[in-house]
Amino acid sequence: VVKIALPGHGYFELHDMGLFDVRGVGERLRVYELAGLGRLRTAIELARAHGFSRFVGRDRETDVLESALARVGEGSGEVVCVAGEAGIGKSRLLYEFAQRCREDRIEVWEGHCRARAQSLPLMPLLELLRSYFGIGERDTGRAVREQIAGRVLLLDPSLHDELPLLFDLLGVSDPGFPAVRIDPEARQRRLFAVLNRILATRSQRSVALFVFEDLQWIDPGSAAFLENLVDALPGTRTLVLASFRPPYEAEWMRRSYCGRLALAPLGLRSRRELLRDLLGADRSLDGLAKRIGERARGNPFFIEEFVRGLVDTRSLVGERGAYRLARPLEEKTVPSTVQAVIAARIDRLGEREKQLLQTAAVIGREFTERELRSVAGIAEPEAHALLRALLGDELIYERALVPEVQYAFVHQLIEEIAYHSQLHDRRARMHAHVAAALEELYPERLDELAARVSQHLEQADEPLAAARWGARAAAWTGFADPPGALDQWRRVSELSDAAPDSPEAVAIGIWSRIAIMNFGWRLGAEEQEITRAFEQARELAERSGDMRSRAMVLGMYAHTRVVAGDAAAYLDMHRESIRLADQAGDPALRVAMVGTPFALFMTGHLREALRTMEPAFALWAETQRSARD
Amino acid sequence: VSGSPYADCMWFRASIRLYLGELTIQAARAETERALAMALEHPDAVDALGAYVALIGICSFEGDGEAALEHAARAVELAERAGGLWAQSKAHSERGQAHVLRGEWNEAIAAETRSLELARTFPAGMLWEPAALAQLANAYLGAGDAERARDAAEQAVAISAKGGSRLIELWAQVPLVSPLIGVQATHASAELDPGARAEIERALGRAETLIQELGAKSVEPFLHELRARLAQLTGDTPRYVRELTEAQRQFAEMGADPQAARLSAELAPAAT
Repeated sequence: VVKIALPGHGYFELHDMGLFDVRGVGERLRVYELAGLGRLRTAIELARAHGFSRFVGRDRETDVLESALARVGEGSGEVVCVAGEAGIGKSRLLYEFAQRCREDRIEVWEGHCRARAQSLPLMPLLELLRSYFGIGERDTGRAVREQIAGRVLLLDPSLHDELPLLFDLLGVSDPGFPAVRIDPEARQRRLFAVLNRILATRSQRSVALFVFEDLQWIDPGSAAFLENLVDALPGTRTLVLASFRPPYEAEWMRRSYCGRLALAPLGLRSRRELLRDLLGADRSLDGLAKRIGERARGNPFFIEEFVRGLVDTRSLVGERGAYRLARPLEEKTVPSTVQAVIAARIDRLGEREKQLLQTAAVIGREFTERELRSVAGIAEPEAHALLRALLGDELIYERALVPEVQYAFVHQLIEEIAYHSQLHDRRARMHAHVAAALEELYPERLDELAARVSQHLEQADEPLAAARWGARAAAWTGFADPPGALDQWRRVSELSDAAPDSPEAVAIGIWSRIAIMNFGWRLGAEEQEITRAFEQARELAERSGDMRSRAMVLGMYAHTRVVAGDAAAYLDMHRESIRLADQAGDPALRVAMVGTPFALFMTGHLREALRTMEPAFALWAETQRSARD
Repeated sequence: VSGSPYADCMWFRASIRLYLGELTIQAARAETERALAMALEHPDAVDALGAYVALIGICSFEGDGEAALEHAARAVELAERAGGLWAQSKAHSERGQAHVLRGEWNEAIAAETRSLELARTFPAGMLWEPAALAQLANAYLGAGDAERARDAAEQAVAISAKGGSRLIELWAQVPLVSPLIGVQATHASAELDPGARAEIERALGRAETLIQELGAKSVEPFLHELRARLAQLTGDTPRYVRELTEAQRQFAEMGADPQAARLSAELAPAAT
């Protein structure tokens, strides 16, 4: 702590108070006042200390970004899309540029898309907003609301009424200040409008940089947000950098203010420069650099991993920048892909370190020490020792130290390979542990985390529990991302089908399909999908024998047909739904089924429509009488 | 299915009873305004849209363009703020209807065109398509473009008839007849084309059948007025006066005072 607190590390903001005499200490000591957290809360720069190689061969690309930043400073918002294969240096380029911006006091916000997380709604968006509002993982709901309100109202006090929307989005609704209930599509529009206002107002004060990494894994809701952000850029002093692996494409990339930067493999000179930095110039290395350069085909991450692999196997001895070849390299031991290099490095770890790395990979690209300890079931001292070893092997790095220690895999490929290098049964067990840990560690964020919990339970081969959490996630997602909610409900229906037969699985199966119909007709889902959802829901409802479910399924489907302009053909279905609702003996359900009188009205059955509504008025009168009494 | 079913039921009931001739304009409005108040108190903001639509419908019976436009402005604001495409399509169509009532044809065309764009964006908008087309036909007719009016009205009738939306079909028959009469009226010097006359009679007959089937007594005065226009075109003055008088009487009886006053003013010279 003392070491990282020193000026220059950036973790803390320190004011120099000058030199002081301290009793018992021979020399005068410089004393600093601790003024707060520093600008480098995220500690990827630790990775530099842990062996980031020299940044080479990207002068042209850096110039492109600098030019874009200069134009943005003049009030012309832009996007630069950085495309390239895994390991080619996209993240590094963005990191170097973001660091340079931070040094110039330009605010930088980042959202990362994750492998295996496309079904997790809004993850990168939430990450970006959490960093924008300065929200910590362990902040309470109240603290989060205060952070959001403080930042938003300082920017634009007229956004006060929109705060509940942001609270809902970040999973910290205030029961005393609820959001107005509006159609899901309208909620999304409004949320986007609020975010655009924040962007525009903020941009009047200074230039800002938004970074989105790995768009090939973006979820639909975050993609919609990104498109909205891109549309709102003109006239703002905002630069958006987005990276992805081809062949990812998005429609917004065709906008005139969106540029593309394709990262090519490093050229010969840059490869030499990088290898010289990594290896040094010992005469024993003659020919080695050429072989590595050829095998890695200009992919800098491959080059780095190759060298690390040789160091691990003691083929190279010495230290970085001053290695020598200890024994000749046999051709058959030279891996042909970067994946093979990483797999071999992981294989060479000690058993405990390897297991911990694999467990971390199940949690995801980033993980806190608390999460890891909870999932792995190990005590703090052992966790520290193992993590130190993994840090030393440059497989992970400390991403943040405050408000709690957070780690991340040095590269997405390491996480992917560590994840897939374990047996299915162990991985499934770990997924179950992660789900339990998330539930236990973040009781105030369960709506937001429900999709993650559900996904872990699905991987743990617990489809019913996954469906239950998926339904919670879908209900929450519907607030801000209707297409995302529809996708979640589709997933929930599949999970309920995969679950062992039980009343709960059937109920979730029915409800998810009613939701698919409800979101589907609003969002323009294919007629076939709506009809399939109806048929499956009807079968489940009939099997369950539950009159309420049968009534709701019929009523919902008939409503989708009426609004699609096919009212007359589905009148009998509406009538049947009312009959079933009557049989169910649930007056509230009967009242809620206003789709039937609407259909009767549109098809001209005016008197029948009136008769259908009579029970609603009878119940209303009774409710009013009870309220008076 | 809905966030505020009681409010929905209240304005449904008021609208239906107005159609059936069981409520006057004033009584229907009072009940719909109660439904609107209830919907506005409900947490689902967009619930109020149905009540605004119902109030605009009442204004159409009454012929009150001012009030209709006021309700339509609120409906559009609400739909833009809190509704999906479905709600927005309907709200823009209602604004178009309000402009038609006020004789603001270009504004009406723009609003109905916007409604159609939205309705055609997704399958669930198809219910509103014929309603918007019917209003678009009225707007084109007012703007003097009888051909396009007729085309829009024919589409409205075909689509609503196909889907079995008899209520929309009924309202689409009215602008279907009007442009037919309008086209003939532009050739006033000539005899009424027998083919056109048969077509007009057929459309009027279908409208009459729908009124009977639905029991939509309140639409009858609109039909009498159309028959009066046809009689006027063919020079049948006694029938013109008879039909217009009946329309005026029925409008007055249902409390549609502006409509009744408009026809009274037209009838005054005929009476002298």
